[in-house]
This record gives sequence, C-alpha cells and structure tokens, in this order.
Amino acid sequence: MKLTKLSYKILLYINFIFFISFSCIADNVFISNEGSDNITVLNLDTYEIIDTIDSGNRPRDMHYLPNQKYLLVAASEDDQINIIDTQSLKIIGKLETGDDPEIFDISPDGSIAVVSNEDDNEATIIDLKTRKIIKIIEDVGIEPEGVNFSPDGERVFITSEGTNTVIVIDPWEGIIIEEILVGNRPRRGAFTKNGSEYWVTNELGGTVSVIDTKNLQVIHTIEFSKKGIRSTEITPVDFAMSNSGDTAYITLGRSKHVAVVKTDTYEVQDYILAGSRVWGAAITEDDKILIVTNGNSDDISIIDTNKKASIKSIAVGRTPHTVRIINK
Amino acid sequence: MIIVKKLIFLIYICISISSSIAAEENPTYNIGFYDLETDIRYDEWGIHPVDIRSNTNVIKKKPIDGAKLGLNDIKPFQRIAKLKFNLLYKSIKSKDDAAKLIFDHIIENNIKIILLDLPTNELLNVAKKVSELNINILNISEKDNSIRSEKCLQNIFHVIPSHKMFTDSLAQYLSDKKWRKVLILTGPLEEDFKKSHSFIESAKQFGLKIVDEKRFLLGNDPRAREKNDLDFLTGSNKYEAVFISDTHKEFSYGVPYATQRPSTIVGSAGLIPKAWHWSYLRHGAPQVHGRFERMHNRRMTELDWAAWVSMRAIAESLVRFKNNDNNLSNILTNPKFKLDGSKGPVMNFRKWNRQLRQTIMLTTENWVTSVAPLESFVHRDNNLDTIGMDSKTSKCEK
Repeated sequence: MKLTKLSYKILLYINFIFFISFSCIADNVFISNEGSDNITVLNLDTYEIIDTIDSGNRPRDMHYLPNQKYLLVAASEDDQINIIDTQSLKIIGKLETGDDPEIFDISPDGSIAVVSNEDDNEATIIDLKTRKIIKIIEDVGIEPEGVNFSPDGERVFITSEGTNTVIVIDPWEGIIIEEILVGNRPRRGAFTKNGSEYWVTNELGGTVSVIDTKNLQVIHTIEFSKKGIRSTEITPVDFAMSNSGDTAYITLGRSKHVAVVKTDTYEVQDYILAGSRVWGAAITEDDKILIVTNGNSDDISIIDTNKKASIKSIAVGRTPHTVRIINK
Repeated sequence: MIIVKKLIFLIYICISISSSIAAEENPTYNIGFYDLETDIRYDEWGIHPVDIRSNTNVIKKKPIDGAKLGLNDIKPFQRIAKLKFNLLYKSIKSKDDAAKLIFDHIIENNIKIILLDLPTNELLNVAKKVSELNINILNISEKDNSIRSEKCLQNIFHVIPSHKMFTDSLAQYLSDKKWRKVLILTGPLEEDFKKSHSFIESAKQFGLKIVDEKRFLLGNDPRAREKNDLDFLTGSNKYEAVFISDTHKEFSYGVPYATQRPSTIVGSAGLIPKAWHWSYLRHGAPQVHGRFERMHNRRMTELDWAAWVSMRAIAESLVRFKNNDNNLSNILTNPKFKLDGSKGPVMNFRKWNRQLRQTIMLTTENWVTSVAPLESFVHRDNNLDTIGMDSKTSKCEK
C-alpha cells in the first residue's frame, strides 16, 4: 500500500517534470521585426501570439544554441547579439559582435559564433563561453551578408553582396581559404543536408548558385520562371532546407512566391504564393509546416507543405526579418 | 653572425622577387577620369545663397569623389579579374583644349576606359577625338536629351539618366496621383528651357494637361512683375501641380507653399527627381552611402553615385566576361550584363542609345517619397523602359 502510494507520488513527480519541460519549451515560433525592434512569439499549435519581446534595436538574424534553451538575436543597431531565454522569454545577456551584425551562425558544437559586419567588410568570430570577440577576419568582400557553418563545423561560407562572391573561411584558424564568383548580389546560403553542396541565392541575378563543397566550384545554377511574373521581380533571398533533405524552399522576394526545389535534380517543382517581399523562412522538424516572413506586408505566411499553399497569414511587427521554430 | 645576415638578405631578395612576380601576374587596368577645373555646372548654381559665406558647404562636390569610392569598392574584384585597377584623374584647365589634352593623356598612360564629367559640347568633342582609339566613354554628369537621340555617338555610355528619364518619372507620379493639370514655370537659361521641353513631351506621353507655360525671371523690378512675382505667375490658371525648371535654383526655392492655388511643386523644387539620394533606405543603399560619407565627409550626390556605379560597371564587365575579345561595348549592352547599383532592379545599358536603365528617386529634402517607374506603368520588355527614350523615340543609329 505504502509502496504504491510512493510510486504514485513518484509518477506524479515525473509527470510534473515532464509537464514543466514540455509546456515551457512549447512549440514556439520566434519572428524578429527589424522595423519595430521586437520579437513576436507565436504558439505553433494555435497560431496565437503569446508574447512580444523587446529585442534591442533592429533585430535581424536569430539562431538557437544547440540545446534550444537560448535564442541569440542580432540587434544590429546596438552592435551586439542579445541572448534570450526561450522559457522565460527574457534577455539574459549579450555578446559583443563589432559593428552592425546582420547575419550570423553558430558552430554545431555551440562553442563559437561567426558574424558578418557589412559596413566594415569583416567577419567577427566570438567565443560563446566568454562572450568576447576572439578574432576579426578582414577583407571578406564588400557588404558581407550570409554566414553558414558547414555541417561538420570546419568551414564557414560567407556571401559578399558587393563583390558577388562566396568567401570560404576556416573559423578555427581565422583565415580565408577560397573565394568563389557566384551571381549578382548573393544574399544567403544554405548547406544541403549531407553538406556536399552549398546553395546561394543571387538576389539581383534571380538565380541560385550551387557550389560543390569539395572542389569549391559552382556546379549548377537554378533559374526560376513563372507565368505572370517578370524575371526582374524574382529576387531570391532565404532558404529553408527540409529535414528529410530532399526539398529546398527558397523565398523569391518581390515576386511574392516561394519556390519548391528538388535537391537531387535541382528541378523547380512548384511556386507557392506568400506575401509582399517574402524573405525569411523556417520549417518544422516534421517538414509539414513552412513559415515565411513577408518584409513588405508586416506579416508571416503559414504554408502547408503537403498542400503547397498558404493556410494562414498572421500580422506581426514592422518589417519581419527572420523566423525560427523550436523543434521539439 | 654573418651567416645570419646573409640568410636574412637572401630571404629579403626572395620576398622582393616573389612580390614583383605577383605584381607582374596582375597587369594594371587604367581608368581615366576627366573634368573641367571651372565647370559652370558646378559654379554658384545650386548653392544656397547663405552658403557663399560658409567654410564647409562651398567645397566642390565633384563626382571624382564617387569614382574614388568606386575604386575602393572594386578592389576585391581584382582577385578574380586578375587585374590591378588604377584610377588616373585629370582636371582640365582650358575647356577648348579638353579633347586634345584628354587624347594625349589616354595615350601616355595606356588608359583603357574613361569617365567624363563634362558638359555637352566638350563631351561630344572628346568622344569624336577619341573615336579612333577604340575607347569607351562613361558619361556621368550630362543629362542632355539630344546626346541620347539626334546627336548620339557610338562610344558614349550614359550612366547618369537623361532629362527625359527625370521628367517621365515626374509625369508618371502626377498621373498616378491624378494631378493632371500642370502649370509650367521655366527659368531664363537654355538648360531650363530644355528641361521644360522634356517635361512637355513626358506630359503628352503620360496624359497630363499643360495649362500654361510661363517664363520667370529672378528679380524685383516692378515693371516685370508678371515674370518675377509668384502671385502673378501662378494666379490666373487652374492647375493641380506646378513643374518648375530652374537650374540656378534661387527662384525655385521660394515656390513650394507659395503658389496662389494649393498645389504640388515638382522639378527643381518640391519633389525633385534624382538618380540617387542619401536618404534611400532600401537595396543596400545605406551601406554605399555610409562608405561614401566616411571617405569624404559629405552626402553622396547623384553624380557621385554615377561615378561610383561606372567603376562597378567596369569591374563587373571584366569579371564576368573574361574570355570576351575585350570589347567592352558589346559586354555593356549584352542583355546578360547585370549591374548592381544598390537601388533595386538589376541594371544594364539600352542597346539603342547606350543609356543605363535604372530607377529614379523622387525626393524631398530628406526623403525618397517614391521611386519610378511606378508600379502601374508596365512595358512589354522591361518596366524600366517606361522612363526615358525607348527604341522608337530615340533617333540614334541602331
């Protein structure tokens, strides 16, 4: 009798712990609004806005630390990255970054971050333990923007909007390894799931360059065209790579569409209508829901990837920039 | 000790040899920039009367500054172009000798392409003189319509927009707002007359009605009050907007908020069309402008922008079309040539008159109110061709 009571209590206790851990790391979506200096927090199940966090000035790129307990947000006008506790939804610290951080990435082991400083043509490497700058790499091209760690954590690829190149660096040695010419105004990049390719959006070129990460050469250029949309309207910006690895979702900016591309054949399968100047993108762990930010209509579109259609749009802050989803 | 010294010497020699080899590997590519020491377009015109006493505001804002930023910005292209870019600047004293002096300077310095900041006559003289050299010219400051039409020369590429592009942009805006009745006030200079004439053509094209065109004079003579008194100039017609062309600017400063009827002022005052404005916030423009301000401690003008983007055009063509037969003329008009001017759509040159396609900013003192072409104006090929002379209206030899 006593035993069962005790076990019952233990069960309750365990339940409680689970409840705490699951309810606090809810299926939240974070959207940085660079125009209104805040982050909208959305519940992914109900699509209700549950909080708005003052993020610092001009919040742009965001990334989780590997355990998802902390979300880092680049506060560009404050020249720092703020650390947000994903449970309490409060800012609990900051990283120094150098001038005007826009896009950054975190090494897979969570030990360092690399930030592009577009006004200074530099990349800054930050130690996440001490929260201090370790090294600044100069001359990474004019207006560096996209920053991505390779899945093995050994290389960082940086896009240079002004020089139309991708610069490959070794973040651990702090040196530039290679520079690759891509299309016009390369904005962001993404590695394919297995790390064998690095895809780059060329905003003005209207294309995506595919780089072989072994020999560091452009091996393919993906072009987009849809009836009724002028080629000048097609301005690719951001990616969401499906977790299954077979599909890339690419936001096409002014054309208001998101392209669905097969990663093995580079075939463009579909174009999904979203909002005005669609750019930021993120996908859920199960690949079912794609969320994109619409920079010019101050809202986000929720896209059902099976139906390949927007199922809902939600007004957020001014000029939503980046979206991140907590993956359970 | 001696051995160590010898070793150091040897290392030193090795380094200097290797660096000289590296320098030889990348041949220099010389870019010439020419303007006039005294150019009436940069004289007192456009300077606010109060600034005549200013130590800071009367400094010459000449577009060579934009080219210098451009040189800095294209240096990273050297790695891939395998060239070393070099900018040679010469300011010409006597405009009558401009063509000969520039010709000689090009030959002496092995210059491959030139940027010209010259008025129409000198621009055409230089273009004719250098035509035998197979050298292309980038016109960065002269907006004259005629050099893009009846007086056009094959070796000139126009980076700065024409008057027609500016007046078309305003006409689109007024038409879009349905402010269709327009009064024109034209200043005393020939340049003013050219701008007003261009606006009249644009008005016809975009369905505006010109209610009257009046010539004004700056002055207080009571006998000429119908020409110098704004109440007389704007009192008798029914209009919704006023277009003013006033290169000198002093008269036009006083026109907004002062017409007899409530109306929008466009042209030389009020809403002013420009190729570039420092307040533009989109498409990476603040980064370009920030670099310019840090370098020169002043705002970047549209002429600075034209010089800057010319340098980018040169680098872009050399990087992308390396295997070409070095004929820059073909590259710049190639539909695949894509120039990023940090103001939105990708730009390239019109084949028929070698004018750079681009958006026009409609600006106030501290804001870009609108950007032309406006969304409601579409063109069969490229919406940017709704502003400026298209292949049919330009009288250039195709």
